[in-house]
Amino acid sequence: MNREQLIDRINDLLVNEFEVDEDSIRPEADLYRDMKLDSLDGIDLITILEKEMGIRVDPQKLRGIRSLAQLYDFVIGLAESAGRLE
Amino acid sequence: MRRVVITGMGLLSPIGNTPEKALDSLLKGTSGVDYIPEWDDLKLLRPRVGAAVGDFELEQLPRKVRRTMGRVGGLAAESTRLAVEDAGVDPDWLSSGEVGVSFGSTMGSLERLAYYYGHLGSKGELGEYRATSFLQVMSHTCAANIAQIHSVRGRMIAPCSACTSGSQSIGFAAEAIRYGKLNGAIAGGADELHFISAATFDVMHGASYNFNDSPKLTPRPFDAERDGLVVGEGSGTLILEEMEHAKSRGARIYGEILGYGTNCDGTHMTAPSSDGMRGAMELALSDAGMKPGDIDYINAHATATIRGDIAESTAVRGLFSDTVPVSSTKSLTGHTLGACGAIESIFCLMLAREGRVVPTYNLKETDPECRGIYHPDAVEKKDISVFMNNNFAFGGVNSSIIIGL
Repeated sequence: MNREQLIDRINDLLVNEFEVDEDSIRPEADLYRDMKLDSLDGIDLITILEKEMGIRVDPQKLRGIRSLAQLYDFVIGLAESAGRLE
Repeated sequence: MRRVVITGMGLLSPIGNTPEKALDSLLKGTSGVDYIPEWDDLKLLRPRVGAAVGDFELEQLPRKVRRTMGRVGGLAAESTRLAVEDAGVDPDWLSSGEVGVSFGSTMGSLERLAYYYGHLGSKGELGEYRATSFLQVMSHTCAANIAQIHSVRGRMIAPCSACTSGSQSIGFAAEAIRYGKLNGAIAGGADELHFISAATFDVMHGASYNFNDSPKLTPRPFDAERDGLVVGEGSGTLILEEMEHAKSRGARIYGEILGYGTNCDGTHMTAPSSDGMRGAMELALSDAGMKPGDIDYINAHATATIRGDIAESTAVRGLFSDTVPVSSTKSLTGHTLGACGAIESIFCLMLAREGRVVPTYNLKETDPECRGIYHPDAVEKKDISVFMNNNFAFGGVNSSIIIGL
């Protein structure tokens, strides 16, 4: 999986699993305010990604992630350090 | 004493998803019991019939709402939406803190339980386990989800006493209103159809399977040929209000909770006790300040198990004259478990308003041990001012509600 594919997968999850309006999928979008997600959704999203990529996330590091761009960077960083990205 | 009235009803049942449709089925004897093809692969399960709610899928609810629900929570949420709409209550009143939610089910979603915990238990893997999974499975999932949807801030009561969950929810809510702890409550019960429920009764020799090829002929409460219960599903919600509050807003009043009695046998987990059943009925009568002769109709628990029907017949025979009509509407709905107390209260309210008593459909030849009480053999016209709804559960739990028009 490369960087673009990972971003596509995150977007796909947001739209299909969490029924986020496709129009609100923009890097600057606020996960909570614009996409109407909440803490339960945030945990479930990470749980799915953890399972798919075989990684574990330190919950403390999730704090402060507000925008979709921050989420992309966070997940890409984890995937890279776990050697999961091409 | 503060009085408690019913101002809203919401129903999802195997014989109709509105009180009006259910009434039509009750009067015509239209059964909701069917062959369940999804159980074909379960080789060791003997019962193949069940009573499902039609025209409801969890997916019809918004994701934000359904993410913390299995089917049982969804049924409860939907019947509650209908009841709230029917009552015409102000949403601000529901979230004022003076309204509570009292809603039970046997347990949380069995389907979700099997889905998630199969991985956890047998494979030691988390599988699809999510932050929302427990919320779908926990025993108070119905009450909790209803509270979230309607921003309820009063007390939460979640009786999870199997087949008395719904009736205890109504009874405990009425008591809380009477004693001034609440001014209103969303009260009821729900359960979802799942083969684990059928298997539970099957292994206890309490499930019907002699009529797998003719589903409409079972269950057969009080009948000599009955061979056990048929599991069903559904949800019933009542909006309860302190009477003066209801009157002051000009609410339509369907009926009044006049008495409630609940006790436990303390003798055996599953063997029914006619003494315990009679005790609950006596408690309800005493609570209502009434005598047996004041009851115009009894909606029996009568699930069509061999021993349960005999115990209830014995209890009713000992307390009431043989002129009071008694029937079990489970002959059409199957046993909706945690939902039955609420669903049957709605059935009775509709029948009483219509001035009709229904027979126990499928009752052709009364078991000699179920005789001595009045089993109507057809729909009868009758003025019903006061009725009693009985429900009993595993664990030796007994519950009886008296409702007046």
